Amino acid sequence: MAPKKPRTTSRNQDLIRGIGKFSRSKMYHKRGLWAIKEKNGGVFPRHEPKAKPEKPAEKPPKYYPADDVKVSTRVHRKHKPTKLRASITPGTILILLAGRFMGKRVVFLKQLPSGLLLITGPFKINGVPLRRVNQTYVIGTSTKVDISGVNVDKFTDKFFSKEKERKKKKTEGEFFEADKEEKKSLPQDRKDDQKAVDEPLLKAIDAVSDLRSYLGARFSLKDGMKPHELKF
Amino acid sequence: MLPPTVACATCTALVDAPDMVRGQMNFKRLSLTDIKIDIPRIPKKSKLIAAMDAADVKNKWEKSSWGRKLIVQKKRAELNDFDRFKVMLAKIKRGHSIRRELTKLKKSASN
Repeated sequence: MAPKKPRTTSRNQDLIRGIGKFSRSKMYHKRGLWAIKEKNGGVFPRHEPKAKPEKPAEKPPKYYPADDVKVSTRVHRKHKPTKLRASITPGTILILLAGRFMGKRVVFLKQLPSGLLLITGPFKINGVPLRRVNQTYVIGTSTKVDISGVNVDKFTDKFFSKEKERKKKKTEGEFFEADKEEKKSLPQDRKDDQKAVDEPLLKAIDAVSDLRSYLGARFSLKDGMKPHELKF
Repeated sequence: MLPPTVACATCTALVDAPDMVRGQMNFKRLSLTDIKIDIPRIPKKSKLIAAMDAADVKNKWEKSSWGRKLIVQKKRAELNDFDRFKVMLAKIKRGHSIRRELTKLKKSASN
């Protein structure tokens, strides 16, 4: 005999929507809940709550605030991951629209978990280093470069975060020599990372004629160019 | 492309082409080309198409300067950013070669 299928409909059929045929107490008997209770000594079976590890004894606070301070409620909501524009795929050439590198044509490598786009110039061609940009400040073109040889696994948002500097207490002599700060220079590992990404990329770029000079040139609107009618 | 027209007493023309439905159109919206085909008054669609093919209307239109202009405009509009850049490079190259030839000619003329 085939095993009995679990019933999918209620035993309590609707008279009209929202009103069942049987009363609550009638259904209690029909469903056989009483039998379960009987077996279990008059209560429904339930799991015992797990024993929590004991908390260490809290110290009394050192001071109490004089005024009432509102406790901020924790926000449980999580942002949805940013949707990547359909025109932007790994290897797409982008035109930057804002900032220092406005008008530069750069190569898109991947989208980072924060939603920002990881791009590179490559640095040797147009001076744009490995960088994060928001996709709103970017035009995606239909030109693409083959970036299958480029490994971008190690780049995360953390890679771009600034290293925090510890504040040092200055002695009086140093205080007056505050102007003599060390000149900041890019750490060597950053340079190496840039090189590692750009090397296979440059090879792929050189495989397409004119692409190198294209990436080296800035985009700008000329007379008679209508940006809303242009195809990128 | 301009469809063959049949003039009427009013200001409208009866116009037709292989890829449209026959209908009236005001002359203000039309302009004449030099291409002309021989058809009877109100021909059947199939006969009209045959007559247009026989007179080679499409080729004639695409070879005329007006037709060529439309084709070029359409092609230009379809270029993407990289193509536009390549066009710019080609223009520079053309300018260089023209100037080189010009200086050559100037030299030979002065000698």
